[in-house]
Amino acid sequence: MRRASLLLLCLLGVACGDRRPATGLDVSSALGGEAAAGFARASEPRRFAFPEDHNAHRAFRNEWWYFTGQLATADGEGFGYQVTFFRIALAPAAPGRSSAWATRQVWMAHVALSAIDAGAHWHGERFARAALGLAGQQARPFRVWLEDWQVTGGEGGSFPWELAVATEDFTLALSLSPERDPLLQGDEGLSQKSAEAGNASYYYSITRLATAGAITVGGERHTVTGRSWLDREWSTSALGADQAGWDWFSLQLDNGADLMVYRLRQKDGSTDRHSAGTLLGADGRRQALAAGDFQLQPRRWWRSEDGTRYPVAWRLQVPGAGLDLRVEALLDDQVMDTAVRYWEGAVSVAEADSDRTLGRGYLEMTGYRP
Amino acid sequence: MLTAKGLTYRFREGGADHELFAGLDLELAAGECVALLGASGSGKSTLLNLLGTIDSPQAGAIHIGGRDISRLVEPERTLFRRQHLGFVYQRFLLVPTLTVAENVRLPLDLLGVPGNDADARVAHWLDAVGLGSRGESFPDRLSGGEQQRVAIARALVHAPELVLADEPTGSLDAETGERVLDLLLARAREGGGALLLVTHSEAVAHRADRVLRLEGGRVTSL
Amino acid sequence: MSGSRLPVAASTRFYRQHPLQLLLALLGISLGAAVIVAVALATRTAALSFDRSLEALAGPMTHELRARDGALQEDLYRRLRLSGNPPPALPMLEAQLRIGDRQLTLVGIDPLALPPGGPAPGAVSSELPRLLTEPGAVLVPETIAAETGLRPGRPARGTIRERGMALLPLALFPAGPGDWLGDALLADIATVQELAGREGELDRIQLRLAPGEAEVLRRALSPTVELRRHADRRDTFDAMTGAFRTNLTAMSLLAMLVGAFLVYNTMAFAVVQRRATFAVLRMVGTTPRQLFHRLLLEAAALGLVGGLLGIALGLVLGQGLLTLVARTVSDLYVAIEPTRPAIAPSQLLTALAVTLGAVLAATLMPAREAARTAPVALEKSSAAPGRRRLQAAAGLVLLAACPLLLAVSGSSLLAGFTALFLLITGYALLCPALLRGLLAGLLRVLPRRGGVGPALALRGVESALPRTAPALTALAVAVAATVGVAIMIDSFRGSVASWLERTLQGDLYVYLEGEGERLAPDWEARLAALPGVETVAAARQRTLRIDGEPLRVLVLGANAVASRSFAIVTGPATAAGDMLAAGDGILVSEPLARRRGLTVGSTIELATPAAPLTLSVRGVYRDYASSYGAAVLPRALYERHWPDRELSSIALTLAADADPQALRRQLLALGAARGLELNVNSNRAIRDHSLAIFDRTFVITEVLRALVIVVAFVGILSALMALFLERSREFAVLRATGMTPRQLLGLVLTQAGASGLLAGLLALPLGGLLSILLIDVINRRSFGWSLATRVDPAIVLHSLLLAVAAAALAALWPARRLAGSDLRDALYAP
Repeated sequence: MRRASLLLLCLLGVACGDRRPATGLDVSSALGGEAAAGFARASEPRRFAFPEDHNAHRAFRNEWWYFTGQLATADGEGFGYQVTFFRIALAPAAPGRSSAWATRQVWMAHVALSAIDAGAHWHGERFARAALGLAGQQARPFRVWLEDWQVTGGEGGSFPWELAVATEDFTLALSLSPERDPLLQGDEGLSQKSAEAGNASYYYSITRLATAGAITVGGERHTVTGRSWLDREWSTSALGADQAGWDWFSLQLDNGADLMVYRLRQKDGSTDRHSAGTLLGADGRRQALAAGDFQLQPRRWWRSEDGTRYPVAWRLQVPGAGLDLRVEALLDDQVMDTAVRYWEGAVSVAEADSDRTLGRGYLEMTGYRP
Repeated sequence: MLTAKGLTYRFREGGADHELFAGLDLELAAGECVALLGASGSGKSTLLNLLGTIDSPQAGAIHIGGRDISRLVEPERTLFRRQHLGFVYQRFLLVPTLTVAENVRLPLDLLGVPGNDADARVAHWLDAVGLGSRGESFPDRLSGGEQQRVAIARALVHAPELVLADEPTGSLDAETGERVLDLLLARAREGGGALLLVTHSEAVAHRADRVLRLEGGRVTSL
Repeated sequence: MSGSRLPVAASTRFYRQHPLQLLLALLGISLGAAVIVAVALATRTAALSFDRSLEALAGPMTHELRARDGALQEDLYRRLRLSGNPPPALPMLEAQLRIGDRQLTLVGIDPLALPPGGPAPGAVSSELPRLLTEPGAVLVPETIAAETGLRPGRPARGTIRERGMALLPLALFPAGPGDWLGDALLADIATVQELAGREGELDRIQLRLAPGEAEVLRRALSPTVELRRHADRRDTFDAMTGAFRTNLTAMSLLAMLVGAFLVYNTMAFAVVQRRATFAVLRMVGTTPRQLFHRLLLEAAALGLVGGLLGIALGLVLGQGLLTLVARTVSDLYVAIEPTRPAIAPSQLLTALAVTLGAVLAATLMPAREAARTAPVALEKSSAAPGRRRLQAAAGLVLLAACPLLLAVSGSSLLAGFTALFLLITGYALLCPALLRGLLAGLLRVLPRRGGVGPALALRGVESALPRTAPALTALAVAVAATVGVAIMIDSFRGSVASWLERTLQGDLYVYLEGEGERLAPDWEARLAALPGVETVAAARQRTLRIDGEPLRVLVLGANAVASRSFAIVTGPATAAGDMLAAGDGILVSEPLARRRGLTVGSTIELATPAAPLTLSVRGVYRDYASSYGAAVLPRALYERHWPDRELSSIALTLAADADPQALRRQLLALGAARGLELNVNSNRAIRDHSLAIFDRTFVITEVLRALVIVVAFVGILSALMALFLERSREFAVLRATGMTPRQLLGLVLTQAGASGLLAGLLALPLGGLLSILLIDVINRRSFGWSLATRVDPAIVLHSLLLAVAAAALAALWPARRLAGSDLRDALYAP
């Protein structure tokens, strides 16, 4: 869900206050201000079909393919990674134009690598138009790409998917195969984000993808294996005007259960009642969590270079499932210093009172300001 | 004090060599006032220039205070002149852009006499030549007699061993000339240095202690 | 002077008593310094202006990809982007856009490719959706909005390549001078491709490359694409304008040289006037060395004060000069908008040092003379004959060194200017001797005819020579510079005029205003079909790469010989016609040939859209259009290798009975019908326009020349004043013996006029030599042009008049003062 909000907050100009540059490309405002008229809205549950729904839904304004995961080498050196492709439509329909550059779609990608043992975090950001083959998504064979950053699959979206990213700091070459079926989030895949009808997205996840491949960093190639999480979401509008940001957790527990929760924060600091989550049991049982079904309390704050304070350790309680967890960043500084600044990183999951390790996951925090 | 022996001086003019004198001898005792008489063109002024380190003889030697000055080269000549000699000329030769007091002070300045001492000596000598109240005037505000008195003060202010005076009354009327001459002789005697007074006037010459005549390239005593 | 303040007091009081003399000396020094500062300011600011336009062009980018010829294919950008870890790269496409009568540049970019964190107009991101999706959407710099009246949200119409189109200004953005992408309308690249009808094409791809990346990239490029460093353009600019700037600097040094004569004159006179004082100082014990130092100190003080005044004056003067320099650079090289005047502190220090150096050098001789003063003047001595001979000999040596230097220095411009200064200095040293000789000659001729009058006047001039020689020399040098430069400009203009005459043989020329504006190919046939038109010859002006260097190339068909002929400098006279008819080979212009050492039979490599072409040079032609070089290519050859068929201009010859004016109106109407503002001009109009630009180019030279004359005038004024003051007793005697004031005035003016005439006569040979040096050495080495020397007798006459008038005018005031002065004062002055 988070990713929807990330962009939408941008659209609303909320999360981007710290980046209102007279210089540089201000994508957040670039994406803002357009009327939603002409785009499809997520207003009622729909039928999902796979692998078709892995492909783009161009009638909606925004859409993303969001990969995160924790990997390790054979001798236990740990890494976290993030690879995200955002599709943003600037207009509902493409007018007939003769230039190959003409388009109504632009793409943005964020990539990051956390080297847990080395205590380092690198990230990259790119933009491109969906024209001239610079960026896009295609079904046959499955491919999402922005320049040379890409995810490719088989005919019609079949797995495994190959993920390839190269920045000046690191490269990723990973192969991903799902261990579980797609999980429809919210109400059968319809995820309501604020009170207004249509302020919702279609949202599914593949919470466990077996991952293997290579990470090259500092000229050194590491063979790694581990587990990834894929979020897929598309929408036209979602957040309400008084929402300030969110804290989003995707956790893979060692007992085979997967937990996704997000807390939407109001501008006054309170928790929005549209905060929600899903617990997917090891047996495949799905349990929807409403705002009242879980509690989140910051346990430790970390101050970033620009003075922003982020809660990098949390207590997460799901009383109905008997869960009382301590979620803590594996690395404090996993700030994404991109056009929209946010915190996204690998976390450990432990039992709150015994500190016994229970799993791992990813945490995203947006809307924090210096 | 001053001994000149065997002085020879030749110069070139109009394509021919002229010999002004050859083997000229001259002697002056310390503190002595001597007049040198001679007709126009006899070489009086040239002799004065030789004695004043302004010109050099082709042969012969000049000793002043025991030092041979005829073979000195620049800048020793100038430094010698600065220290040991004083000059009074017919045309006064004051610096027009300096005041009377500054003109008198000039030799002290060049010798590096400190300010207070110099001030006192300038004041003393201006009083001595009767111009105590004209120190701030520029020379062109002064009469000829007054200008020559300034020149006398300047020639004596640093107590030179020898003062050379070339027709000091030549540009002045008789009465003024007489008064200036009195002053020069009196002050020169007072100062204790020797004075060589070059003139063509017998009357002036006979005011001196001793009179010499320059004629045909020889100095004779009268 | 070892602690003594009295001699200093004497000096200060001297100048206080002669304020005019001080003033003139300071004026001369400061004028010389001012010209140096002004030229430095103007040329430096011009270079800075270019830097700024370069910054506006390059912004944060370091390199640029361009096609060696024509456009880049957009696929190159895609491949670059999809290659592993691409560098920051911005694709660009430009179009010349006409709105109303304004010619604007429209730049298409990919806003998403702007490097993150770099400078870019804020409106790009805030208007991104519409910028990308609305056809015709543009962003407008506020400066251009103010000039064109474009308003956000209000649709406007414009014309690109004869096609009208709708534009939609989305927003204005502030852009200061030098801001990247701040000098043009901005649009999405798709928009510009569509508006300009250039789908699939890019003009360039700007890149930000780290050291080392460029070489890697260059190896991967196809030979039709080239990678250029932005910084190299600065080098090109420096190379192009180097000769021009050197010329200006040389002119300013000439002013300083004349100023130095003036200082010499002032100091020499100041020494003579104070000879009595120096004698007294020597008598009471001042050493020669002390006097020498003191004079130098005095000069240094004058130089410092004059230099500082000159800097102040030069900063003002420089602003005026800047306009001229910027215009000339724009006319001749690249368009620049002058920025705020700027000068480096080091340049000011240099100007001050040059001034002080010149003043001290000019004072050396007078100071040595002062140091030699005998204690109590033994005799009046001017420059002894021995020294005069020595000076003349030194002059001869310098003169002899001049051709020697030229012979061994190849084509070095610096050596050319050194020779120029050797010539001037050598001649100046010789001047006093020449003046004496000239005067002796005149005296031998004159007395036989006139009575006492002329002889008296001339003898007066002669006896004054020791005093006036430096000033007369300065005047002679200044007048000679005038003569030399005038002959050079006149020859230059004559050569250009006859070249234009020869080049423009069509009756009417049809073209579009503006760089890069092109006519559709069908105009050729349409014009040929008009009644009254006898022949039609189309030309293309293209910038092509010859041996890797972008050069202007004129593409002509075989039929062009009817309306255009070439003066072949090297090669058969029919080289042009033969080459155009054969459709093979190339003609290179004289500057290009000289710069690159090309001659008939040399081969050059020409970049084409495909493989490079090797061509043989068929001839070298005279061309004054570009000092950088140009070439002519046969149309058949061009069309074999280039797809482009558009035309730059069309020359028409008319039937004998055709009415040019009627035809012109008809052509204008034809253009208007297609929405075009055609330029239809007669060969005469074009010639006049070209010569107007030519004249504009030399305005700055004329201004500098005038300044040199002013400096010399001040010199002669102060010299004559000094002279007459010195000789006031002599004049008093003349008055006493019965000369009326008017007669005396006449005498003095005659003497001054005669002196001026002497200087003028002396100036002529030097002027002639200078013009030869300027035309055959400086010009050729600077620009590569050969000129036919022309000597207009009027120039000679004017310079003589100038010299006489300057001298007489300078004498007028001192002479009047003299004539009216009190006789007694003069007679009885000490």
